[in-house]
Amino acid sequence: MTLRSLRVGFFLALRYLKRSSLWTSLLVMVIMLLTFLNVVVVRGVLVGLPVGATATYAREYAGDILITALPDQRHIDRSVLVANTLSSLSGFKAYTGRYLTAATVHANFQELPKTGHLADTVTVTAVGVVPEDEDTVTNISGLMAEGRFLTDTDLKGVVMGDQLLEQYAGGGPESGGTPETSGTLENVHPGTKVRITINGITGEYTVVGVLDGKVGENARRIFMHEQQLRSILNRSEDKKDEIAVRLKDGVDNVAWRDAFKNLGMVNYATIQVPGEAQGHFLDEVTQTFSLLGDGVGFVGVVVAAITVFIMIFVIALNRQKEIGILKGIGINRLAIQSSYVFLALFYATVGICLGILLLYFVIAPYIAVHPIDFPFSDGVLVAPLFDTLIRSLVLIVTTLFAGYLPARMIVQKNTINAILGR
Amino acid sequence: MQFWDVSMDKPIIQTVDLVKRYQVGEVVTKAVNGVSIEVYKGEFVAIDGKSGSGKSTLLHLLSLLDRPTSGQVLVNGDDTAHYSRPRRVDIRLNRFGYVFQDYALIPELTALENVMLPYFMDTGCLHDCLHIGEGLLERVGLKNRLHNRPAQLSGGEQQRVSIARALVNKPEVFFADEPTANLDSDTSETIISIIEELHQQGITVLMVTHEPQFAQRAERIITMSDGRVV
Ligand SMILES: Nc1ncnc2c1ncn2[C@@H]1O[C@H](COP(=O)(O)OP(=O)(O)OP(=O)(O)O)[C@@H](O)[C@H]1O
Ligand SMILES: [Mg+2]
Repeated sequence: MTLRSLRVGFFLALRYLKRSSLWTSLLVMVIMLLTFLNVVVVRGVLVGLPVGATATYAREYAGDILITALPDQRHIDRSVLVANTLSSLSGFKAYTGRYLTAATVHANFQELPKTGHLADTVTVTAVGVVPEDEDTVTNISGLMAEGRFLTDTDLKGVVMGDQLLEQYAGGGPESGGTPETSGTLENVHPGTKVRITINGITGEYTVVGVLDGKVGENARRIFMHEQQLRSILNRSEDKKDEIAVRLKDGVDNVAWRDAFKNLGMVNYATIQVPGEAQGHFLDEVTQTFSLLGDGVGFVGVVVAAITVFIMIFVIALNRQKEIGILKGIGINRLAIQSSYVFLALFYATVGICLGILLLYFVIAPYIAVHPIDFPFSDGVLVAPLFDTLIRSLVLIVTTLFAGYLPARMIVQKNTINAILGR
Repeated sequence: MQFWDVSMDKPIIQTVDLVKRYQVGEVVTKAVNGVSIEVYKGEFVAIDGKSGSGKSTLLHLLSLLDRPTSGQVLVNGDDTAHYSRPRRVDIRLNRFGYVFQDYALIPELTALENVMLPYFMDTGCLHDCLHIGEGLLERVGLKNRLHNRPAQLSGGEQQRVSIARALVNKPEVFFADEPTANLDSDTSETIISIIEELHQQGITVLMVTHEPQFAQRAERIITMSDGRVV
């Protein structure tokens, strides 16, 4: 009996669909499509921000593996040995070694006598790198906002992180700061000469480029040739501070890290994958964002429920007389109610299928090619298929109830009153 | 002995002091006011009376489309007051056929589908059994209108589809509320002769009409006035 009722309901739903106006159906499906995108894509984008941040962090700074000093040491112990061991493991592709030190950059030293201003200076982290190595690992020359990255002959050249410059980071006179207190340098461009003081030794350098990275670590760094930096610091090659390692495509960096640690390297350095190196902060951000996304998704589901409810309510209300007739000729309630539920399910399913197609064949590929440009990350879209299917299922179940309720309400009306329209 | 025989032959439908009251604001209308009638199996009964005398209301009560304010409707001697809703629906599906005054077809369905719907509900058989609906529509002279939707049919044609639908589950009782209203006399005649045919096949027929010449065709006439049988 139940099955037969459902069959009759399905039959009626098919006829309603066949006879309903194309535009109304399209409208309803588009609403379901938008609801789906709201429930799946908005969350995907939100979660994609921190996930994208990690990806950016790895791409522009940490590589696939980041090696730093042990917590109780100033530099990576036995850097040369560590670096040489890298290539003994398969999957290794390239590395860049970095030497870090504090430095002060003084920008307006040439005009200072004329203007009478105080010195325009910032304190920074100076990084010494082999330009070619750094570029191989982080593709840094592609991240220039202005100018170019260092070359092997640029012993007196320097690349500035964009957050050090007033034109990128603000803090100039317009925003109420003075050059001396702003934390940024004014009027510094490729070609500008700056004085850099490291370890008490001041030298004059030419800015060759400005780095427009998204990674906080780079934004307030200056890059110099490692030979230059090491000679000022009088530091040996065995005292690197960071080694960023690039692995071959498709190599699992967690497994690689463990293998590398097991080679005894764990005694000399801290060896981490980017997620660890970035710390728990981003994990928490990811969690918060996914919670936020779930919240948005929940609101989306509620809105979907209300939309479906109203839609079916209106459709059924318009057919009150017909519902009365059906009851009058002996069609049972289950059959009548299920016809509206099937109708709602049809709209929802088509909307969701369109949504899934749109998501995986248009939106996801598009965002993959054109990441959403956020200041701290290139936002990606996180929407694993399984997750999406679960969410779709939630939407469908919601639709089921949201379609059933109004149908039930209207079917309950007195038969003869419905038929006679009173 | 004769008395005994008659009581053996229980009425297929019987009412006892049936009342249906409507209240609109302060005004109380007794649309049906203490009606006690008996209809026997195979009878052809016409119900006539002035407009507003309660004919339709009575037919709704008899066919279990509506519930009385008080009094009883007995089907085969069984009081229906305690019948559950699904049971009433099932009786309407299987044992009663009802032709509404305004045809009451489902606009999205074709003539054939309209006719087949109660059969589909009852048996679960639709496409394989379409010949049953075709036969019925042929019988009411609509062989060429199988796939027209109600909007593509004339009033008389819709009325005949409605009759075919009422017959598809082989009802014991056939109700018709003014089946000839709004129809020209030729079409009315066709419809009345179809109904007479049903009666001849042994179906119990209850027909509301306010046209004396059609009421005359029945075996018995129940005349209503102000909610009472006179
Ligand atoms: N829902 C209602 N509320 C209030 N009064 C009603 C309602 N339905 C019917 N009535 C009243 O009950 C009375 C009987 O109505 P009914 O429809 O049974 O008359 P009828 O004999 O079928 O008339 P007609 O020949 O015009 O169809 C009328 O006076 C009508 O106004
Ligand atoms: Mg009437």
